[in-house]
Amino acid sequence: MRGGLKTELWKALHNPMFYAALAIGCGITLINVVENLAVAEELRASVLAEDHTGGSRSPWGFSLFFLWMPVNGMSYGKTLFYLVWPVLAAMPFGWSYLQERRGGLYNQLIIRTGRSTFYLAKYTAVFVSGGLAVAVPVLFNLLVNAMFCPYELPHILNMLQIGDGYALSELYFTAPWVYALLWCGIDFLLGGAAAGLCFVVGTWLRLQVMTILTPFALLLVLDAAIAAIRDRYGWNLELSPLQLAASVPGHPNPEWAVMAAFLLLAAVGFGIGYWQVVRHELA
Amino acid sequence: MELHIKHASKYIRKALILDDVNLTLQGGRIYGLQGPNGSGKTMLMRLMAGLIRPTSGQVWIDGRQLGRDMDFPPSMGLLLENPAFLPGHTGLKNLELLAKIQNRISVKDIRQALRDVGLDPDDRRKYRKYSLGMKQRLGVAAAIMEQPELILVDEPTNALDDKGVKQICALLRRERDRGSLLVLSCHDASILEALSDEMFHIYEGKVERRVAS
Repeated sequence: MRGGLKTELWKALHNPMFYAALAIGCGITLINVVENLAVAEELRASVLAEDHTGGSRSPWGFSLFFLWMPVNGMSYGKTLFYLVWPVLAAMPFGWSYLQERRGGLYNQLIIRTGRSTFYLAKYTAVFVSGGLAVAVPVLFNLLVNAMFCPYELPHILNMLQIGDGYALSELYFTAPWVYALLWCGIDFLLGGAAAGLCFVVGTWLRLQVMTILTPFALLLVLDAAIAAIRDRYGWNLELSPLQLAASVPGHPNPEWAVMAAFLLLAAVGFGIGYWQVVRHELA
Repeated sequence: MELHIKHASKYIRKALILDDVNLTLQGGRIYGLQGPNGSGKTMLMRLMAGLIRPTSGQVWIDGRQLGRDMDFPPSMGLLLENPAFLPGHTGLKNLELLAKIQNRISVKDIRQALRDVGLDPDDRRKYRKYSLGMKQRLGVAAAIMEQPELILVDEPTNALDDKGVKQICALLRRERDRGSLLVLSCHDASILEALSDEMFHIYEGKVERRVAS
């Protein structure tokens, strides 16, 4: 297992598509940074115009943790990133099984590892590379924003979007750095699980680009179905995995909903993938 | 090594690809497969490799049944149809990645395997820049580098010049003399006859033994 896993991880993290996914992801998050620069300048001017003799350092609630992309409700960068994140997740290595099986490299790998070990190594590599492609831009956005936004502790009166029913909300107001890093971890898990959805189509599709778009298409359909059900029954709850990658989606996202979305994606991707790779025979 | 195929038949989408194949193959010999395109040569090799499972019948290797006791033969080198490697890496790096999976051989062995097939281990060109002949040589190197007991090679001399053909033939004989069991298919009948200790003719999935010259 170790040799096969090392080989697959090396391939996943040393290919141009992985670098491209990281570059595109970070590029999209920079849209949010540019938007924040303008907001930050306005807020700074307002803060400077205020009288701070009472000791308040940031009466406008100007904090890094309001402007960071996953919590920033008014950002084109956020909207775009949290729409295309499944594509970014699948880009690095989700296509590799299809390509290797059709090209013939699969034979060389599988005879040396065995079917189950090959699949476990391949799934892990797809998961890790997909998770990194989503989580690294989110972390990058946090660090770049931190270059010009103060690390003020968010106050409940200044952040009305996060409240009861939102995942890790207490942590957000008490230990925002921990919250931010945990959210990067959640995005890693969701990105990895979404990348694993590429196995659902196995070798049915012939084009690499179609495999890359598969998780996006599946999550988009699921999102539409969940939105329709929510509207029909009047739920005030976010259950769509596509929306749950952002820490402040349109509806409350309790921890169990985020974990359930991760487990659902991981189980579907891994389970169907196992059948495709280990059980399904391609002559 | 001893490889037995017992009454193996294979259907793919209701088409009969292999028809009641019975073979016993021994180590230290080269077996040639001859037959027209689509006759089932590659499918028979895939069956021996464990890449496909027989619809009926069994494949046994040294007393263990393929697909039941093991996924694949434990020591096997394979070159089926076109060689395939990572296009953005050198030949040496590609072989290193494959060899690391089982960790049976050193970089020195890999470099020697490359020299054996006529490739320069220090060649900095990426695989995508290789000529067809170089790709073929690299495919043969991948099949033999770990000194496997079972070697299955489909058209190993494709795209090679005369010198390359002689080199690969000498290499396959060396592997045979080392004790490996080799199964070989080749469109060039003269190469196949010159190399094979025993030959089989395949037609519409049926396998018949032929006398090699």
